[in-house]
Amino acid sequence: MLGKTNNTEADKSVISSDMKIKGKISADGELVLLGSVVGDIKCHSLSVEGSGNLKGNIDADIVNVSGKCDGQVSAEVVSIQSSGKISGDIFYENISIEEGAIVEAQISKRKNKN
Amino acid sequence: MANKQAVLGAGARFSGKISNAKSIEINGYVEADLATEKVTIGSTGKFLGKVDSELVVIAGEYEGKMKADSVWLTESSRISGEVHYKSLQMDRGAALNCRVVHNWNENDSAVEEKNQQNVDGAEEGAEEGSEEGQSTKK
Repeated sequence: MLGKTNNTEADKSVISSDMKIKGKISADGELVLLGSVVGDIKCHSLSVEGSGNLKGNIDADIVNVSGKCDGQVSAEVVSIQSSGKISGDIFYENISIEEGAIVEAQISKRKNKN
Repeated sequence: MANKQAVLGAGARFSGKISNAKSIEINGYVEADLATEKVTIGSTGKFLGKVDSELVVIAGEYEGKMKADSVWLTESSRISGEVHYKSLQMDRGAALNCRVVHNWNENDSAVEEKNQQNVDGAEEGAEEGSEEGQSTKK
């Protein structure tokens, strides 16, 4: 992840709250989801905000969920906020679930990549 | 962070369908059909697909069929496909390899077609009777 910090603003993607997307997204940088996406997401860091809604699989390094997710989540760090709602599967190396979060998922720890 | 502004970052790749967006900025690679109010394709951006928008600003690469009220093609823009516009601004250096059509308004072009038909219809109508002549209101 060299040089990532210098360029975060340019690498950042936002799906705004009024936006609806169908399809695959892959990004090198950060992705903020305020709208609704049907499809798979692959990126460095994903944050599903309160208004965000995702139906699909996530493959990321860091995942932060305060909205709704349905599908398979695979990430190094998974954090689910109190307003978060997840169903499906979660593969994590490091997980945190805040009180109040709704999790209906199969949760399993994956082995460190390195 | 503005809620309504959607951004696709420089390293992002997307293919699929985008709807309901008010304003979108594309710095990555997008393959989609898009209907929105304002689109900006940044200098690192590449867009393939249909665009239907009020305002389009292009500094990157575009390929597809565009329908827009107002189009601004900056000096680094590269366009191929089709551009239907009402007002167009083009900077020196913009590279166009496309069909450019002013006034895409469907009603206007429909009227034009109808007039054309009426001319044809009038000629045929004279020979064949009133069948074609009904659409001729002159």
